Amino acid sequence: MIDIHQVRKTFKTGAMKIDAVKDTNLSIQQGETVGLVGESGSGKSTLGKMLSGLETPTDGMIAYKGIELWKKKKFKRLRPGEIQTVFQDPQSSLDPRMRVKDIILEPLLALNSKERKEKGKMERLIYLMKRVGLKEDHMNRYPHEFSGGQRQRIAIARALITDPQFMILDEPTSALDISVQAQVLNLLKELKREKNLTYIFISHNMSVIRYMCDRVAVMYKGKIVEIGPVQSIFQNPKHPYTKILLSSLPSLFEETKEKINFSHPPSLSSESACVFYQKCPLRQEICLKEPCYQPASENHTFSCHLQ
Amino acid sequence: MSAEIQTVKQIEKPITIHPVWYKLKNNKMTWIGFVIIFVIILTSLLAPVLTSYDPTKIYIVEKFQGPSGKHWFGTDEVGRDILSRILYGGRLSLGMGVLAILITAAIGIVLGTISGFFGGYIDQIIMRIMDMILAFPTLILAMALAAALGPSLQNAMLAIAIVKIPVYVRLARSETLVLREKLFVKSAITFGIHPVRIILKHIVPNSLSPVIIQATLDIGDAILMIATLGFLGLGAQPPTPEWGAMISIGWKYLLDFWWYPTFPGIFLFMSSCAFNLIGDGIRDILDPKSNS
Amino acid sequence: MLLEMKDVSVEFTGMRGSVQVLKNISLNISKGEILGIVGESGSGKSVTALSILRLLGNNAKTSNGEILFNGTDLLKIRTKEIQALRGKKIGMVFQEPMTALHPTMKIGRQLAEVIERHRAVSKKAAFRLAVQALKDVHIHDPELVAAKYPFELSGGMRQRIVIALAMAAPPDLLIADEPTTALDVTIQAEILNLIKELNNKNDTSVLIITHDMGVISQLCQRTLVMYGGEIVESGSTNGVLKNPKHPYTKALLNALPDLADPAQPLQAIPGEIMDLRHRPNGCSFAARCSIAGEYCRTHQPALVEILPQHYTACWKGEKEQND
Repeated sequence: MIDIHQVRKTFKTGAMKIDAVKDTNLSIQQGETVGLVGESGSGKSTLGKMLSGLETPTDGMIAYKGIELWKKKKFKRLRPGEIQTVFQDPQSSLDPRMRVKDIILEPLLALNSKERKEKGKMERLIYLMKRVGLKEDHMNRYPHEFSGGQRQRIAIARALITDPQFMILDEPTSALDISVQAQVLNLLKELKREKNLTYIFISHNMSVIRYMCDRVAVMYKGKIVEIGPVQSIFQNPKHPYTKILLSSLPSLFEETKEKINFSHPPSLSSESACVFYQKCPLRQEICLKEPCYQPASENHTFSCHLQ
Repeated sequence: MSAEIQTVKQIEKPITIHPVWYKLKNNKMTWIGFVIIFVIILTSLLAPVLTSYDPTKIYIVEKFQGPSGKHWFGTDEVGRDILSRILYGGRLSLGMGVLAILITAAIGIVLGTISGFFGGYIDQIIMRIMDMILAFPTLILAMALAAALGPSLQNAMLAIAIVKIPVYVRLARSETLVLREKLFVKSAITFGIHPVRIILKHIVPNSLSPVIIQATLDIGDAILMIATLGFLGLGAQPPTPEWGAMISIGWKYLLDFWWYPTFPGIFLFMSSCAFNLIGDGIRDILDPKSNS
Repeated sequence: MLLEMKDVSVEFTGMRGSVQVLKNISLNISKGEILGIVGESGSGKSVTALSILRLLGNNAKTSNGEILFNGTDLLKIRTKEIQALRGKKIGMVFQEPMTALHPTMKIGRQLAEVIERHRAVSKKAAFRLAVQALKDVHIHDPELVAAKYPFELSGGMRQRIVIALAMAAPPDLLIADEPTTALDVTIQAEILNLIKELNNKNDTSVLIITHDMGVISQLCQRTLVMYGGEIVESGSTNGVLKNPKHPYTKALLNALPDLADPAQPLQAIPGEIMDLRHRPNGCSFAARCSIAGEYCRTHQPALVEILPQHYTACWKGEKEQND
C-alpha cells in the first residue's frame, strides 16, 4: 500500500546539515499496523510528516498504491482524505475558535461538492461522534470544554469523516493519562478492524507499540536499524540499540532486570560509521563501516555487523 | 510545572463572556473611555437636533463672540457657531480616524498572514516594502503622501492608512508564524485544504486579538494625525468643519479669542485619550500575556 | 520520622469560586526511604509535593493539618526559614530540567555557587566539589561538562545536572516531580538508577511523583495512589502493585499494555478523570468504578488498614475483609 524507497530528509541549519531521515526503505501492506519506535530525534515523526505532506523529502520516492506522493517537491493527493493524521497533542490540534461540529467536518472542505454533501450528512456526523464515544450534544461546544481524551476522540472523528484508508498516528496517546490512553488505544484497534484501516503508529512507548502493531521498525538517528514482526523483535532483538531499548523498559513485577547501558563516545570516529557507533557497547573496528541489512528470520532484518 | 496546576488554570482560562465581563467590570478607566467616546459619537450624530446653527453658514456680524447662552462655545472669525462646527466636525474626525485604521488593519492582516504563511519570496517582497515605509518618520511620510495626493480629507485619511500598514503587517505576520506551527493548522494542511481557506478559517480569526488591540490604540493616534494634517492645510479644506483645521486657523487668535482653538482642542484631546483607554482595557482582556 | 504530613487540605481560588485540590492528605517518609506517589492528572500528586515546599501560588490556600519536617511544622515557620530549608534540607527535581538551570551560566559555576552557599567552603574548593558532584551523577568528562552551558547538553544530561544541584547540600529529602517524564526510555532507566544510588549513598529520603507505574515499581519501597486529591490506597510497592485493593489501582494496572501478554485487550476505565469542581458526596471514584454501589455514591470512605501496613479507601474492600 505504501512504498518508501531510499527516502532521505536533510535539514539545514546554517552551515550544518543534519540527516533527519536517511536512506530509509519501508513498505506497508494493506490492513497492517506498522509501528515506528525510537527516541526523540530519531526521525520517526519526520517520516510520518513526509507521508502526510508536511515535510518534503530531500531524496527518494514515496508511493501510495503505486502512485508517487511527491512529484517535484509537490505533494499529490490521489484523492483528498485517503490519508489522515492524528497528532499527539490534542490541546493544539483543534482550533480553539471552532465548534466541534465544524472541526469534525473540516476535512470535507478538500473534497468535491458531491462527496462533501454525501459525507457531511448530519446522520453520518452523529453516527461518527457516537462511534468515537462523544455525545450528540457535544456538537456545538468548543474544544476547551473537553478533556484531553475527549479532544483526541474529536481528532479521531475528524480523521474518519473522509473515510480514509490509511492513517498516520503520531504519538496519539502520549499526552493522555493511562486510564484514558487505554480507551483511545482500544478505540483505534476497533476502528481498524471495522473499517479495514491501515495504520502507521509512531510512538516512543514500547509497550503501546507491542499492543497495537503487527510489525515494528526501530529507528535510530534517522535510520531503521531493525524491522520485523513485533513478536520477533520483542523476543529476539538483534540490534544492540533495540536490546538497550527493551532492557530499559521498567517492568512492573520483575525485581531486577539486567540493564544494558550505552557506551561513552569513542575516540575514533568516521563519517561512514554505523549510526549507533557513538554509543554502542559492542562496537568494534568493523563498525566504522556502515553495516548492511541482514535477515534474522522471516521478515525480520537488522543492520549490524555483529551477530 | 505540574499537571494539577494546569488543570486548575484550565478551569479559569476559557475566554467566555463571564471572564471578559469580570475583567471589564473592574476596569474603571476603560469605562471612562467608553463613556467619552459614546457621548462624542452620540452628540455628533445628533448635531442637527442639538444645535440650530449651520456649521458652514457665515454670519459675519456675530464674529468672535465669546461663550454665551446663545453660542455656548462662541463663534469664529466669520461668525460660525463653534459648538455646531465641533459636533459636525466630530463626524469627520472620528469617522475618518476609524476608517483609516479599519483600512490599514484590513490590508495589514491580508498582507501579514500571506507573508507569514507562505514565506519565501512573497514574504521577502512584502516585508521589504514595509521596511521602506518604516524607514521614514510616520508623520513626515503621511504629510508627503497627503501633499502628493492633493490636500483633501479623504487623501489625508488614505495617507494615514498607508503609513500605518507596516505595524499591522508585522503583527499579523508574527502571529501567523506562531499559528503555522500549531497542530490544527498542520492538520488542515494534511487534509489538503486550500491555503487561502486555511488563512481565512484558522489564521485570521486566531490572530485577530492583537490586531484589534493595536487598532483601538491607533484610532486615537489617527484622529490626531488627521487633525495634524488638517492643521498643516493638508487635510480638510475650508469651510469643512474639522477639528484640526479649526485649531489651525483658531490658534492665531488664541490670545484674543481663547475659545476659538481651545474647544476643538479639548474634544480632540478627549477622544484621543478615550480611545487609548479603551485600547488598554481591551488589551487587558484579550491579551493572555498581560493577565496576572 | 523525617517528614510527616497530617490531614493537609489545599484549596485553589479562581475567578469563579474555589476548588479543593487536596483533601485530608496524610503521609510520612522515614529516613532513607523512597516513597512514590502515583496518579493521573488532577489527582493532586504534584500539589502535594509543592505544598511541602510551600511553593504553591498565591491563589492556593493550605487549610488545617500540619507538615512536620524533622519535628518543625513547615506550615507555621516564616517564609525566610522555609527558604533556608529549600535546597539545603529539601532538594527538588522537576520534570523540565531546563527551567531549573540558569540559561547563561556555565554548569560548573552554577553548581559551585550552590555548593558554596550550602557547605560554607571557599570558591576554589566549591569548584572542585562541583566537578566531583558531576562525577557522582555519572557524567563522563566532568571538567568538560562543567565548562558548558545548559543549552549545549542533552535532556538526560541536564536532568543529571539538576539532580547534582539538588543533591549539592546534600539534603535530607529529595522531592522529584516526574523527573523522567520528558526523557527517552533509555535515559529514564539511567536516571532512576542514579536516584536510587544517591539514596543509598547519602541515606537521603526520596519522594517521587509520577504517573508511571513502571517508575514506581523500579524505585519505591512504599507507594501512595492518589485520585481526585485524595489518597485511595497506600502500602508497600509490592503489595500495591501485586495485590491492589482499591478498584482504581486495579483498573489502572489493567489499563496498562502488558508486554508479556499483548493479545490481552486493555481494560479501559470508563469515563473521564474526575472534575475537581464537581466533587461528589461519596467516593470520588464511584462514578467510574465497576463495583460501586449506591452506598459508595453517597458516603465517603476513609483510609482503612485492610492488610498490615496496606491501607485503602473503599467500602467494598472493607466489606471483603469483614465477610
